[in-house]
Amino acid sequence: MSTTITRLLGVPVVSAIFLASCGIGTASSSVPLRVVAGESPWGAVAAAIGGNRVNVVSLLANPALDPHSFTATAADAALVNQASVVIENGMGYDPYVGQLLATGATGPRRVVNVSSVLKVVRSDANPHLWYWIDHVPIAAAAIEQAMAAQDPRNRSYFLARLKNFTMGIATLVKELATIKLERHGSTVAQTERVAAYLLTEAGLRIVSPLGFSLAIENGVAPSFSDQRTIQTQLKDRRVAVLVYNVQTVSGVTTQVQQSAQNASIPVLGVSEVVEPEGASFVSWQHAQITRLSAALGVHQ
Amino acid sequence: MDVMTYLTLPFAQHALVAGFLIALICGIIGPFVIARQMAFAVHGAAELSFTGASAGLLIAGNPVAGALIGSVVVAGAMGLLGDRSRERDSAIGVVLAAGLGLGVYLLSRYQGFASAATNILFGNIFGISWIQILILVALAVAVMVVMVVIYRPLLFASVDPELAQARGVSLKLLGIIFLIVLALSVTEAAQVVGTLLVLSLAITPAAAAQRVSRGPASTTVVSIAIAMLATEGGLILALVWSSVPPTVFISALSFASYVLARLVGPGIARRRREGLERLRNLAAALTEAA
Repeated sequence: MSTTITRLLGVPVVSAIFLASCGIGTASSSVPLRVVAGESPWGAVAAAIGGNRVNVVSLLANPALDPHSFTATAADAALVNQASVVIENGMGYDPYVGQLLATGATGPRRVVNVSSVLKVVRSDANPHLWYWIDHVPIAAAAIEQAMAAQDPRNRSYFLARLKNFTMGIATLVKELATIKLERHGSTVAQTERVAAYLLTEAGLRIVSPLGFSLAIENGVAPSFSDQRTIQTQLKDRRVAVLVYNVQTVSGVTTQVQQSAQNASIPVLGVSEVVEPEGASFVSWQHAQITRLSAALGVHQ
Repeated sequence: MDVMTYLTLPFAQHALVAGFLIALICGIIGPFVIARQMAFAVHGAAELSFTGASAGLLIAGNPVAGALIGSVVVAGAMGLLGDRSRERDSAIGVVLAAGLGLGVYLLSRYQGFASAATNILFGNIFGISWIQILILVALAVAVMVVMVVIYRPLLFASVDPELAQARGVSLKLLGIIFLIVLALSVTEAAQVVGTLLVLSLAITPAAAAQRVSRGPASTTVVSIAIAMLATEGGLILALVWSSVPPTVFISALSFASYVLARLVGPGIARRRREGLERLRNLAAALTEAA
C-alpha cells in the first residue's frame, strides 16, 4: 500500500520535474531560431517558412549596394558566428558568407548552400538562383529541413508554412506559364543576367550578347562589338523588352536604357535583392512578373 | 551587443590575431619603404594583386594563388625597370598601368561572377579562418628571417647607395629581394585585410615613427608599435561601433598617429641635419664592419 502511495506520489513528482524541464525547454525554443542569409531573397524565403519562430537577418539587403564590394562589419560577423542556420547562394556570388563561416561558430550550425542544393556545378552558370522560380521550392525545402533540424519542436509549423510558400511560388509559375503561352519565343535584351532564369522560364529568348552582361556584372567595360550589337538590337526594335538591373546603373547601362526608350521599347527594372526592403519573396517576384507581363502586353 | 561579448566570438579573436601579425609584418617593412621612397611601390603591388587574382581565377579558378605568383612577377618587373631611383616612380606607374589593363582583359575573358577577384581589393579582416592565420604566421616568420639576413646591407644601401656599391653591395639584387618581400607581404596582407588597410599599415606608421625616433632600430620598434596600436585599437573601435567597417577606424588611427608625430616631432630642418649626421656615422660604422 505504502509503495503504491509513493508510486502514486512519485508519478506527479516525476512528471512535475519532467514538465519543469519541458518548461525550460519551451522557454529556450520560444527564443526564435537565428537565421542568417547572404542576400535578402534567401532571407525572405527563410522568413516565409520560419514565421515568428525564427529571426532572419540578410547581410546584403540594401538595393543600393553591390555584392562585388560588400564589406562585412563586426555585427555581420557576429551574426554568422552565432547563427543556427546560415544560407549562402554560392557560385562566387557571396564569397563573404564563406569567409565569415570559416571564422568559426559558437554552437551547432547548419549551412544551406543553394547552388549545391540545386546541383549547379558549372562555375560559369548564372548565380542569380532566386530567379529560377520553379526551383525555388527545392531550395526552400532544404532551408526548412535545416531549420527543423535545429528546432525540431517547430517542425510541423515550418512544414505547414513551407507548403503555403510553395503554393505561392506555384502561382508565380502559373503567371510565367501564361506569358509563355502568349509570347513564347519573344526576344528580350538584358544589361545583366539577374532575371535570366525567370525570362527563360517565361519562354522568352534572350538575344543580347552574354559578353555584355558579364562585363556589366563584373564592372569592366563591355567590348565595342557587344555594345554595338545591343544598341543595334534596340534601335532596330528587334527586342520586345529591355531588362536592366536597377542596382548597378552606369554610363553604359544608362545609354542602353536611353536607346530603348528612343525606340519606344518597354524598359523593365529588376533588382538583385528584395524590393522594397522587407517585402515578402512572393509579393516581390509577383510585382516584377506583373510588370514584365504588362511590358509584353500579356493579361494575367 | 557589447565589446566583451564580441570578444568571446571567434571572428573577433581571429581578427585581433591577424591584425597583430599584419601590424608586425608592415611595421618591419615600413621603415625601409619610407627610407627607399617606395610608398608608390606598396600601392602598385597592392592594386596589382587584382590582376594576379583575375589571372588565377581564369587559369586555375584560384584567385589567391594567382595573386601571390603575380606579386613576384610584379616585383621583378618593377625592380628591373626601375633600378635607378630617378626612374623608380615612373617604372612603377608603367607596370601598374599595364598590369591593371591586363587585369581588365583577364576579367573580361572570365565567364562567371567575379566577386572573388574584386573582393581581393577590399579584403575582410572579420572573415579570417585558422588557415589564413597560419599563412600569416608563416609569412611573418619568413619576412623576419629575410629582413634579419638583409638588414645591414639593405640599411647601408638605403642610406648611402654609392658608398654601399663601392663596398661591393649589389644594389640591384638587394633592391629586388626587398621588392619581392614587400610585394608578397602586401599581397597576402591585402587579401586578408584589403588594399586600403595595407597602405595605412605599411606606410603611415613608419612615416610617423621616423619623425619621433632616433636611429633605424628605434624607428622600426616605434613603427611596429604604431601599426599595432592602430590595428588593435581600430578593431576594438569597430566592435564598439559595430555597423562601421574596421578599415575606417584603423586608417583613421594610423593617420592620427602621423599627425601627432608631426606635431610633437622635432622641426624638419633640425631633424634632417641630425638625421643625416647620424646616418653618415652609421654608414661609416657599417663600412668598417664590412
